[in-house]
Amino acid sequence: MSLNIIGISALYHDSACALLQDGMLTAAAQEERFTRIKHDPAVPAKAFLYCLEQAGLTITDIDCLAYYERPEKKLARQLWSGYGCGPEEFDGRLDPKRPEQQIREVLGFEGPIKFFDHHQSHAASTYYYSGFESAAVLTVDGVGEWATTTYGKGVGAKLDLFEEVHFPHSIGLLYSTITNYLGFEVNEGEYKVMGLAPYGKPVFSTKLRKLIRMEHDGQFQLELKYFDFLQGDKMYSQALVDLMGVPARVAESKMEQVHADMARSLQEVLQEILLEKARYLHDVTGMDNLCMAGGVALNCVANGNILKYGPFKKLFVQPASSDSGCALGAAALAHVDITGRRPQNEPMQHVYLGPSFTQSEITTMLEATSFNAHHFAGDTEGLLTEVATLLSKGKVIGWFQGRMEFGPRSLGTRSILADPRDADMRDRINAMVKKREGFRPFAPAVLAERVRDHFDLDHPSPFMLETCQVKSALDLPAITHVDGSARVQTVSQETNERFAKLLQYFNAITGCPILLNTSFNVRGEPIVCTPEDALRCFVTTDIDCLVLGDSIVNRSENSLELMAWMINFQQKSSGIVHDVYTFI
Amino acid sequence: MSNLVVQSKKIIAAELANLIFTESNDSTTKQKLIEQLKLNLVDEEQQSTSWFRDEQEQSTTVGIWKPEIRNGDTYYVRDSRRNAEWAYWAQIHEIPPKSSKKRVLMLGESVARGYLYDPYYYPAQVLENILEKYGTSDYEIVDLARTNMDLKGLFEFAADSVNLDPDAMVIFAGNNWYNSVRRDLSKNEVKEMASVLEREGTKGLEQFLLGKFKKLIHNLLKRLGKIAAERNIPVLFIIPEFNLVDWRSSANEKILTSLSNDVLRAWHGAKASAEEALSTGDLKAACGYAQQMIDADHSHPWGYEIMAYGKLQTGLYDEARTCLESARDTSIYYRADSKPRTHALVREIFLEEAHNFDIKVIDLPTVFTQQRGGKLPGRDLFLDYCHLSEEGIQIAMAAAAKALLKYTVGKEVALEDFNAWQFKASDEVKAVAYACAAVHNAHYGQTHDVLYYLCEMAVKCSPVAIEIMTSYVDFATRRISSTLCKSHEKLVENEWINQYGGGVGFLHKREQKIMDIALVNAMIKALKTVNIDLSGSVKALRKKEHGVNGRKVNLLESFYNSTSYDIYQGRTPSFYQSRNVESEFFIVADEGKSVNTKLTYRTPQRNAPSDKINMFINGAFFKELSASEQWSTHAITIPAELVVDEINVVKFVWSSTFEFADVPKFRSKIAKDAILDRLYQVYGEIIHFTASAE
Ligand SMILES: [Fe+2]
Repeated sequence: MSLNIIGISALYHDSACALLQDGMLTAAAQEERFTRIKHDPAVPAKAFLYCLEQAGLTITDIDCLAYYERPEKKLARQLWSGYGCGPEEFDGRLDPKRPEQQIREVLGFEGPIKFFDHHQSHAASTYYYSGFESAAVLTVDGVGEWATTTYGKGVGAKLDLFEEVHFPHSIGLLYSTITNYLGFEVNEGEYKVMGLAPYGKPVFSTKLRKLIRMEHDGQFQLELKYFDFLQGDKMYSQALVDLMGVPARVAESKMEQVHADMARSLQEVLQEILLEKARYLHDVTGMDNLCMAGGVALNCVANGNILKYGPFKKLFVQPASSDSGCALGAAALAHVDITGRRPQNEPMQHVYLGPSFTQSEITTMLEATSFNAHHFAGDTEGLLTEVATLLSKGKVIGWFQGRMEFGPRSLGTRSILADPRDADMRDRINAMVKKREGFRPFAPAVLAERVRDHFDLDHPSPFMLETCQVKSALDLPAITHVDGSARVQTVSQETNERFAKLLQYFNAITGCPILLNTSFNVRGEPIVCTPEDALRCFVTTDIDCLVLGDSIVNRSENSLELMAWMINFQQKSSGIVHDVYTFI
Repeated sequence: MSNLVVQSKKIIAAELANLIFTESNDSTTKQKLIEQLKLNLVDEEQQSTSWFRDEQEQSTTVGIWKPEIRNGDTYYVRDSRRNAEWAYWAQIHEIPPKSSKKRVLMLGESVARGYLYDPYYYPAQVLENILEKYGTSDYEIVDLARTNMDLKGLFEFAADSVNLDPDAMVIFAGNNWYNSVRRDLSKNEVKEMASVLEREGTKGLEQFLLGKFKKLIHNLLKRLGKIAAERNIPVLFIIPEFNLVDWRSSANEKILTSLSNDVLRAWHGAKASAEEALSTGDLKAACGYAQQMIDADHSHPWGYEIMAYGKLQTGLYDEARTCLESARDTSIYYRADSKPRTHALVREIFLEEAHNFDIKVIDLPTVFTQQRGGKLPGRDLFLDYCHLSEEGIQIAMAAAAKALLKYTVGKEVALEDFNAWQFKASDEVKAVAYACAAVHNAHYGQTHDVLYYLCEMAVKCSPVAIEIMTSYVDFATRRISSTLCKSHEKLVENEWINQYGGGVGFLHKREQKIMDIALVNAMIKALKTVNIDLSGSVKALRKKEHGVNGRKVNLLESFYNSTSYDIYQGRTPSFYQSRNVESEFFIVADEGKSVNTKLTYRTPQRNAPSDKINMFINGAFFKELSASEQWSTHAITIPAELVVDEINVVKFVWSSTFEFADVPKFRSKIAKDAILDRLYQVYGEIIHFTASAE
């Protein structure tokens, strides 16, 4: 008798659904990919149906549904902070019955629902998927119910969080506040701040240290006079503006050196805090392994710093470490609850947990369109030779293969790929698809067996979660940061055969086993999910070639203006803009 | 805050959260805790309809046109900052300063734009041509009609339009207004509606909505009266008419009202008997049963429509009109996202009260009835529910010209003397209008008879219809969004359908694409009249795109269970819900090959275990399933002998005995969609339904 557990994170930001079958993670996806509403917070109805369909199950096959938060506890914190608690809110966002009601009414789920603490879900989302038999666990985010940071320890099936730091004292909110100060969207722009940091000098570090007071054990306190998020209109107060002595940057305005300096200082302070608390955690647990999760754990530079200078020997960060990953954690907790055993013993190998599409579906779709396409069905060698050749000629490729990635990163199944050696490539891609602040380089994907030749990295980094120094003999301007670092994804045959082969073919032509890899989406939209999404993205951007499964469409062989006009005409406005961290 | 204060506040917050979570009735304690937390829980100011202020600030612009002074003269030029809106208005780049001609402003909504003929043929143009030929002095018509103009928009725009210094105004509107009523409900009004519904049922709800509607129309009348008085110009209002004979309620507009079991049974019994009587040609009996349906549920259109059919067949046109108007006006109950239409109240108020505000009225229902010798208007005068055909436009504009001449220069002309028929659209423009009308009719639930008529007319008008239909059947049959289809691109590229939504009227919403079976079949049939046979290629394409052979098809996708776009506007869960006692699904299969299906369904709110679900395949009874409060999964094989080639229809009849548990009362949380959910109950739900064949 099999045990099917659905895990859900929802109703705040980036909702997601995951399916655990007998402890094995078989499907997971974020709702935004299906609804095409960026960061869609709705109860993940489509992701739920996808998980069932992927496993060939119907709703009656699901034994338990696990939810990533405790609504009652969260409400207490919301009431305490008082912000936005109008009577309307009690019928909507603040209604503690809403998660269950939505699960019953929207998903139609009739079975048992288990609720778990937000940070327990974060902790489980990393520990149970780490493959470690035991580990210390550190979770750091904006806020869940009360906790904003937790310290824990996992041994076998047992996962115990022994210390919490409570709201409003939050490293995540500190980081988001400066993100907001720098003119970026909260919950969206944090990684841009991280990318901006290497361009600056840490001249604001002393000032930023004033924002947080380190205390005994794992504790710390924010100096609340610098923050305004309890009131809600913006994240920071006038006192912070006075302290910094530099006005807050207006969104979309020019990026100045001073902004980079502030980002760099923030990065430095964050690293100090995390390192200090990681040392504390090591002192208490005495363990060699560390598992991290929570939005702050997306800061791969800080993670790398912990591993490099801290006491832990091994670090695991689950790739979807922010709230969407809590769906995985909640499901794992329910599994432990029901069986008494830990879900999977193996470390998570890959994140290809989303939907896939057959070549026949792709071909039928292309046949309906006016696109001139080249089909390579049954000729993988021909396909990869052609794609590698195109890449070597400087073409930017939309790469759509197999099952979609779970989590925030494109890892080679819904990716935009290009030659990393091309000095103009960064600007070209920024102009043609990303339409974004152009200061950040893109990330490299490298053949796992060749990583040491080019990067200062001695272990696999399959999830693009680690940064290291570039030491390649090749000049790789499109993926190298100003400080000589890069955020590397190592690609292996075992988990993504086609992508690994493409890297081999590219290497055969160019002597470079590395490709620039960025997410396949246009600014403001979620990463593409279906072949049709990919086609739309291709049409409305300036990507040179689209590779859909075994088919290649070249922009130069098609005239797309009319279709681009129609798609733009039809495009509904989407996305949820966060000017303030809406932790209500 | 000291740590102690923080801690105690946390405890209070936790206590309050617990009381809310457990839905405690202890409001005293709750209130005390709220006060201790210093939460500001005062009811926020309830905004109500505030847009009818008398002292609206007059703007200097006129719609999308803004003033530009050149050599001391004011030109009104399209504002490029508003170019997203340009497509809704006449394609006029600038409105020159007033000349020596009499300036007549034409205001209104899509019916005044000449929807589906515009921009090549439109009412303002016909009116200007008529006046040019038959007027005593020179007139210029400024076409200010805007597609999608609602009551609020018209209220504001009418005041701004006087910036153009008119000598007269013609307003042709009213179809979009009932939607304005719904759109502007405040939260308090929604709560009030809910309580009226509990107390007085649908009749009370109707009265409530009509009361609000009345107020809104009065406000508009006042404003128009003020313009007429201040400017001392004739303001003419054309009361719209509805396609009474040929526009029928769609399937979505016929979902059942939540009624007591007895009444539900009575309604259903009467419906079955009425249909039986119709099939045997016994019109009198049919009308009797139709009356029973109306008595059981006055808010449902079906009884009125059956009754009207009987009356029309026996030449009782006035009685038929009453029935058909009642059917039309049930759209106020908002079963579906109904297309625009006028409401009896619009006509009633304008006929009775417009003269008090010195507004002149042209009553299109009377004009059309006189033109047709007492018969009711239908497909000859309309392209769809409210948009006029070429002839409809000609007659309406002749009536407008007649009134204008009377009120501007005191000249009386008989309608016929205008010979308005001579102001025609080109054959190509008509062909496109008919073809697009066929699509529009199909997408809002009209059936084969009228679809075929429109397709046939299109083909007769011009070969351009052949191009459109040949392309249409192709992209409609494909799974991919129409936007991406080569055949659709071709239509847009060649500008063949500029008359429909500016060239993109065939686009559909995400995940709402339908197979358009009735429409595609009507097009195929019409194309056969010009010796083009696409039946074979469409069949092959349907099987390729939608066939269950060798793959698993998810029958819950819109292709396989939806036939129109006017879908239910209440809450929609992740699964399929039927708010009708019957649901239909399409399976594209090969003749003589069995089809394997997997079905997970439930039937909420049932009292009796004896109640059964009946499943039909292609009209024949196939299988009985048990009612089930909880999801229940079944593997069902449709045997080869029941499977026909191409499209198979699987029908579920969700109840045999109509024994439902009481619909739960409203909880404290009321929203518009909750009222809809309360009005229209669910009969069956499906969360998994797939089909495949070896
Ligand atoms: Fe979190």
